[in-house]
Amino acid sequence: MILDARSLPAKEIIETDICIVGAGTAGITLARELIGQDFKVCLLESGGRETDQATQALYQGKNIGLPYYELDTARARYYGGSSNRWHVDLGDDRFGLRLRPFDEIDFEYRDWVPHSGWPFAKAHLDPYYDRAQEICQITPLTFDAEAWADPETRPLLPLPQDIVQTIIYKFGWRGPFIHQYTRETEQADNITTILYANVLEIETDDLAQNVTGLKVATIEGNRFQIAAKLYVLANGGIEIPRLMLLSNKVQMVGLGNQHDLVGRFFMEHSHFWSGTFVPADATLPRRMALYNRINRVNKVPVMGKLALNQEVIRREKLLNQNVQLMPKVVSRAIEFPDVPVNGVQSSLVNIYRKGRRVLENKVMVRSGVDVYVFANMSEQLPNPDSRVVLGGEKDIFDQNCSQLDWQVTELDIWSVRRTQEIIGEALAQAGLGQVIVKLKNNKPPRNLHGGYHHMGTTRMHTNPKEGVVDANGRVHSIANLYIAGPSVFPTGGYANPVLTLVALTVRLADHLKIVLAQGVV
Amino acid sequence: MTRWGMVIDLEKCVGCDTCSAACSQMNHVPAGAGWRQVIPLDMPKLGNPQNGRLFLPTNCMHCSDAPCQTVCPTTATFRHADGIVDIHDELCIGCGYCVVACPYLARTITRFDEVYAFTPELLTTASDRSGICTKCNFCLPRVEAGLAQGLTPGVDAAASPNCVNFCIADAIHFGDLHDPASNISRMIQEKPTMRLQEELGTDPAIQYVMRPDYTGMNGTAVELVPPRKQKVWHKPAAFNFILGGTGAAVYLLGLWLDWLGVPVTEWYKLLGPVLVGLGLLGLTLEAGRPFRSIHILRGWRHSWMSREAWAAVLFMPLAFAEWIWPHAALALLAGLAALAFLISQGFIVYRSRAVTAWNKPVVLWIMVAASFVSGAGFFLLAAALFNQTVIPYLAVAGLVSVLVQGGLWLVYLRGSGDKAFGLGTAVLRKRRSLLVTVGLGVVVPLILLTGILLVDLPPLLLGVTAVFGGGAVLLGSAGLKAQLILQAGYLRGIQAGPVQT
Repeated sequence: MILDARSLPAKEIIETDICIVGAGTAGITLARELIGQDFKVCLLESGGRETDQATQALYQGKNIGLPYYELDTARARYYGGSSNRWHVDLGDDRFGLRLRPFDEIDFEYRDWVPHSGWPFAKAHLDPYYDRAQEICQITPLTFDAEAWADPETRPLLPLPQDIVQTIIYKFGWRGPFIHQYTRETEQADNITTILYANVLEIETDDLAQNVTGLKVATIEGNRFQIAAKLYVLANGGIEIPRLMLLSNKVQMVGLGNQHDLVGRFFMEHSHFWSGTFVPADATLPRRMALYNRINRVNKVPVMGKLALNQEVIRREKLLNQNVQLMPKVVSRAIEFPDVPVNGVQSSLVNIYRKGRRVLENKVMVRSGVDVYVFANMSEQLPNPDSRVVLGGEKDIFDQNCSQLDWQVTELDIWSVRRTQEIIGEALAQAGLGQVIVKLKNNKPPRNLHGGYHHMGTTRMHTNPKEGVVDANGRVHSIANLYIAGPSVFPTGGYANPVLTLVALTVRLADHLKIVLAQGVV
Repeated sequence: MTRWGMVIDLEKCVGCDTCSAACSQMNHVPAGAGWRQVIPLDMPKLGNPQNGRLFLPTNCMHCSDAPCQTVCPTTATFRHADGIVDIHDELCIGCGYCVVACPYLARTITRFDEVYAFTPELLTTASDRSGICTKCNFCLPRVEAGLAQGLTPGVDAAASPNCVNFCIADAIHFGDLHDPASNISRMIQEKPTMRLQEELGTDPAIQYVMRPDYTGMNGTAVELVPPRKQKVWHKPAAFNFILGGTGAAVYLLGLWLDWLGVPVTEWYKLLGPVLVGLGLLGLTLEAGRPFRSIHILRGWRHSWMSREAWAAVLFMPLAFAEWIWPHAALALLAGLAALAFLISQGFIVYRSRAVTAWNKPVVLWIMVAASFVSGAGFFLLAAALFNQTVIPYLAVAGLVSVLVQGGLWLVYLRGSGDKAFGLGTAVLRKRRSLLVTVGLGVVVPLILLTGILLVDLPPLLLGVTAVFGGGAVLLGSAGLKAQLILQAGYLRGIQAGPVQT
């Protein structure tokens, strides 16, 4: 069933068993997992079936840290959420996004990464990853590079596996989330989706140990309450901490924020282009099909990228990284000579090179692939100073807007540099070519940008002093409030968050079924 | 006859930029040369009553009177019968003239070293476009393929531009403006719409749905996007205007002296064309694809840049021939070519419609006068060293041109214009700038050149005065041109036209 909050009777209290806030990737996945259960689910969505500016404007906020997308343009606030704007061109007029599970090392406690460590190992999540792949429609399940490569048409690069490996990304289409699954949840008897319903506040009992209800309003002014047994926040890595910080009637510092963790540890994946791989052999680009295009294998779009062997990461104490190889036309001989030139001659040689470069660029314009630029996508150090806070400006509901203070640490950038060096050594060792590391210091490069991945702001940890939610995704100290989505990731790995968030959401769905069955609440 | 157009609903766009992502991927647009922009608008001025923000998605407006097309020296930019303004990639030399002519910020010259892509195939398309101008073509191949299958562009997704199909807000609509029953014609009839830069008379093919009750939108134009500095013409362009202008003027002054019967050495007959040639050579550094520069001769019917090139290629051999076989007819022809060259240079700057500080008739005459000033200055320097008898004549020429240039300059700086004009000329009105353009360019030569004419100076002092006078004149006018090109070039802000309800 689907309702429009604008036409609900005012001041009504809607009773349900599970209330999910946000009908985006996580919320829809969760609701769909709960189809056919013998309890009622209410899925609240701030927007409608289509976008509208007034609703989208509720995202308005300020960036006070590193340059970032304007907050009201970084998410889609309507039915289907940001899956509506997944936009990697998969061909046939289909758009989607990259999907890959996190690596084992991402779940581990690493002594060189403060605040690292998930409450469980990857093996625990694997069955959920399998289900997540089915939901994202990217089966067969394997992510083994061998399985997706083909010696003839898309061979694996002969890399020293103990140093550098080919990792596989699959690409999932947005269609299931924005068409099929929304339709399925609408048709389900036990699920009520309410559009245009904005949650203004999470209300609790006097000790802030139980959520008693949600205060909901429409922009037009209709107000009502939701009373559920369990509540799940699935409204994104910036809006979840905002809503919790705004819900400060009982807990003055913000709901669940007794240890000042809500909104902290905001992590993106640092994206930027830097570093160049110069193949030793001009025919190599012909053998790079796996790496420099989206290959359709068994109907699944896949692409290979490079990442370090996890042992190397442990030994070198790095953050987890991967690089995509982006073809670039440039004169190999001119820009990347085998012998570097120093001293007095260098300026003359540089003038010569520059001249030849201008000449080659402008005269001998070529279209073959010469070199590859590294498109880096990197894990960020969990950093409490990188955070979402409430700002002074107010939205149309008179609620404080968010401020995002995105920070990238020196270790983040150093890790990219060191990773490029190691990849370079490995490629050289394999006789494939050389890598020119262009980063000269550990400052965030100018072309640094995010991938719309908002992670870590309500992080998961078994210790309430280290995390906002427990291993099940339940907010510590609150019996019936859960969080779904990438904001619970304690560390962000390098992989795009969707597959992991879907896996965690499926896991949460299983847990909620048990909780309700046991009647613990 | 069909005219393809768009209606973009500013009441709906949420600024997500998915249209740009779709466009760049599916049209193989080189990095850094995006065909679309989604510009957040200054909200305090345009308060959306619903507290939403407004975003302005822009792309090529496919104007029926396209300023880019008339300036294009190569005829690379052309207009299809269905109204789509397109680029013949293989003709474009990347001169950047269209970029300073387009008032919609729709055009980019791709820089070669920015070209990388997702796949080798995309890279091929992207690198074919390196160094040249690239812009939106309304996904013409897609539209044509759709039409061939009997589909309706704007209605059937397979025949519609990618931005239309992937807009999450249903804000972008495509269709036939000339068909009153088309989807977009009906929207235009039913909703309040406006066009950008309406007052320029370019007749853009994109209509924006916008409520008239936004502050200041009732029947008047409102600035949506502030001016920004042009980034396509740099030192090589200024170098060409200075050197080429000087060369042509030197030649004309030499002819004038000859005509007066003053004994003047014939070096000017070589120096003129050489300077013009050097200027053009310098200019090729600016073009993205200089080795196709020959195409610049194709657009003489409407482009002053093409006419400049024609004048130069006629002037240089004519002047050279006249040096070998002196003849009055040849001299006259070469002189006419030199004059045409100077005037073309003036027109090039003046016809840059997007740069309001250039797009003034007086700028045309300033450019011409400044060339004569620098020609006289150059000549004076040479005369001081080699042939002092011509100094008084050159002093007269210098004085006249300096006074004309100075007068025009003051008229120009006192003129009024839009914000971009204000920003551009503000730099020129600064004391440091005036010290060069008026101090060095007018006051100093006025004193020295008058001195030469009125005081009977001994040869040495005459030479020294001529050197200083000539140097001041040369530097002053070169500084004027350099500042005009390099510092005053602000692309005009984008204005919303009056809303039609």
